[in-house]
Amino acid sequence: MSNMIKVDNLWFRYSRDSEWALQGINLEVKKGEFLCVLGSNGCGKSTLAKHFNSILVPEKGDVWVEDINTKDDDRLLDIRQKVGMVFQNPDNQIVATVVEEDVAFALENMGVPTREIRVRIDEAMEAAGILKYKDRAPHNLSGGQKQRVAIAGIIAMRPDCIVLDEPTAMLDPNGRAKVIKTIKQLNRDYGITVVLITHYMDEAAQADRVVVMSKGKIEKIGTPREIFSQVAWVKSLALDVPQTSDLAYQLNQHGYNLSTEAISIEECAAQLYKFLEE
Amino acid sequence: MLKDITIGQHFPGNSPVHNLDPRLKIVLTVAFVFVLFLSTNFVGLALAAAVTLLIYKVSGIPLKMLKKSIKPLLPLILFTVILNLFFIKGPGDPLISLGFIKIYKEAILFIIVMICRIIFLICGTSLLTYTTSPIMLTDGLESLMKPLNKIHFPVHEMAMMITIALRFIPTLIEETDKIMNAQKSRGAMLDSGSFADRIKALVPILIPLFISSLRRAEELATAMECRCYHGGEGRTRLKQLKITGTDITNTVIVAVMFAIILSTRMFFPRVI
Amino acid sequence: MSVLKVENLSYTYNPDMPNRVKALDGINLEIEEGTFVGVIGHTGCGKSTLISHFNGLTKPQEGRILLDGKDIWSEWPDIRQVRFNVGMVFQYPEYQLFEETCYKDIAFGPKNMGLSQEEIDSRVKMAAKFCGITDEMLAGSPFDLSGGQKRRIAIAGIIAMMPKVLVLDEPCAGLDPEGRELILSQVKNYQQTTGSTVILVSHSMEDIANYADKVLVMEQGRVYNYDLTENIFRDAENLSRMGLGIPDITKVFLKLKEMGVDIGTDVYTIPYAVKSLLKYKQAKEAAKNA
Repeated sequence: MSNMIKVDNLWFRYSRDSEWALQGINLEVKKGEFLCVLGSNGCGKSTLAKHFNSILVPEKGDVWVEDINTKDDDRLLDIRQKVGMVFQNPDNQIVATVVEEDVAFALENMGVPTREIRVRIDEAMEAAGILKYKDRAPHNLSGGQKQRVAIAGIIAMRPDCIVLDEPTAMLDPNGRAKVIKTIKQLNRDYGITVVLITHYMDEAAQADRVVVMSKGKIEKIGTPREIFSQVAWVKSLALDVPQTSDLAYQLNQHGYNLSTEAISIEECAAQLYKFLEE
Repeated sequence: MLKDITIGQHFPGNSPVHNLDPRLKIVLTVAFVFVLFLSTNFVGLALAAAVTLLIYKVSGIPLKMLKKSIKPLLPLILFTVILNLFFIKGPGDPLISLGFIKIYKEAILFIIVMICRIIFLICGTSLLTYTTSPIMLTDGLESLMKPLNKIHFPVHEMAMMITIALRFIPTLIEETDKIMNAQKSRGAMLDSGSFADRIKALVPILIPLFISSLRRAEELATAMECRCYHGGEGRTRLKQLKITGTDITNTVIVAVMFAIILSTRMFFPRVI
Repeated sequence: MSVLKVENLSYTYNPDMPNRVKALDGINLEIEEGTFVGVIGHTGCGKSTLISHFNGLTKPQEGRILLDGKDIWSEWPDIRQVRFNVGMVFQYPEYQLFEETCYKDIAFGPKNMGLSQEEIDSRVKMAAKFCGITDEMLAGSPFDLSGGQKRRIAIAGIIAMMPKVLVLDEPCAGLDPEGRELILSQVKNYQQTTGSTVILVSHSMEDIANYADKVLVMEQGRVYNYDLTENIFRDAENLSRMGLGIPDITKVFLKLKEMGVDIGTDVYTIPYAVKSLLKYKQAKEAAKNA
């Protein structure tokens, strides 16, 4: 599979006399995958995300979007169209006073003909599940709905990849669930590459691969199972593990030998059933 | 509470008034203002009232909305009335004379005309915001002001700023409410004390509000860039303004009505 | 003796309009002094409206609120005294910081109370200690700190008023696991050391499970249940049906019950889960050996 984004020995700091925020990052985001970047606050995960569509450019090293270097100013609009970005605070990324006008904003900027804008925004709003709110004012929507408006505004550009920077941090459980469901659908049904930045381990557990970051460096890359089964190590990075893995880990402290890879409720219950009834 | 403030309130609808192209609506509103100030006789004003009522009827906006929009301006109207009542002098004898207070017939006529004008003015301009969404209004303004581009006036940028301001007004009102509640919970006194105390009490509200607005502005700018925003050049629109046959017919009808109101100047004597 | 008592409280938004919403519908509630109360319920269940009544930011339309047995609107000298006694930490409290130094910001509440300079100083230091704020941070500007640190400054600003009741609305929103843990353990420590009452509103069942003594479950403007935490989680099936995210660990035990192993569904923390599993296992082994 070819790469959507390739990060090659990326070093970055916000000013000459500050510390390095990113220290030698190497990463390949494959086309069509659902990748999650997990890390505690201040580990550099948002800074890394901003390199994916050239909001920031590396001080040393390179970031490639397909075959375009993000330092190439002439291709800026191409990069932005290929890699869309959704941010944490839904209020601060909605421009217009009507939902459908906001979803159309990127297409208007790109100079898409009026008739095509109509078709594409209806598709995008359908995909994000907000078509029924298209004539509403954004400030009358809930946080989760607003965030899906922002997502629709990005997918209207028909990007190959969406980067979401803690999109659920400000939402209630209901809004969070709906946003995550939408993201997974985009990945599965529309083949859009997804990079989800988060510190919620339950969101990371749903990804194809998890990148764990700490203090400006990548600590480990692996499947959620590979990552979360290492309970003590994950906890040492100030992150959570699923309660299911934690339970197995705690029982093992009493001299048993349970698998910490049983992440889902069903797997965990099945394992405990065997443990108790044998 | 702050939440009760409504700025440029808009009532969506599907009447010919709602559907009229915003540019024509803006032009007609401006024309109406001129017509009002050129109406110097009661027949003209009566006709203007009739036209206003007719258009409200067509638009389906309830007349009680008028009461709401006039109410906040009552003090202003009252002030004008009192001022003019005592200061306008006529050539003849005063109607009422109480010591140094003298009230002339001209003053009363002038006041009646003034009140009519102010009320119709509010009615007419409110109708524009009631029946036009903020976004259509900005689009209309942008389109009308396009010729100013030639003298390097940033028309698109102005329109974008108005749109963003309209988008953020409710958000900032909500935020102000939240910050006020938070500071009240720490014992801030916002509604008592001397004038100086009250000004001082605003600091804990204005500073957080200012900081958060800056943060919002920065985040919004990044989000706009992520969506390929690069100024007005080469931009297309979701909703393109288009003047239809019905628009033209309706505009001509209204223009004829305005002409009739104006023509009364020729047949009836000026009252002021 | 209850520190806070809610009597027959009802509240409707836009009462005269067609779009009126009944946010609270005949709430009766008694909160005992010194308890750590968790409040859960969906967005829009009325919990925010309820807590804004506690310190008089909202005036009851019907019913009353009693603090120390006295109606906050008629038997207290003035509403500010009530606000000093019922400290309120709102969502994202870091957005209310405004002073040049953290010290001054924390002192804002105590200053409004009209305390002496020495008293203010000792209170700021006491609050800073509870919230893990160093002297260096106190002297610096709040705007140079990280999000989690700013939030602790804001919470210290409320604690410095030494309220009898400390109300926190989603104090951990947006923080990473370490930040959540830190704030909640500091609040717990404050409650246990000073014997004050804490009311914690949260969407996180895990946090409520780990810290609360009693839980208030709200649904559509009414009290669905108010009881000891273990009794609340015994009702896990119903909470789950109401769409309240019960902890994964409780879900595992519900699943086990479905499979025929009933260890109880009131398991809501990992240590308790480990304990009950080991007990069950040992009993089973003992039975086998006997």
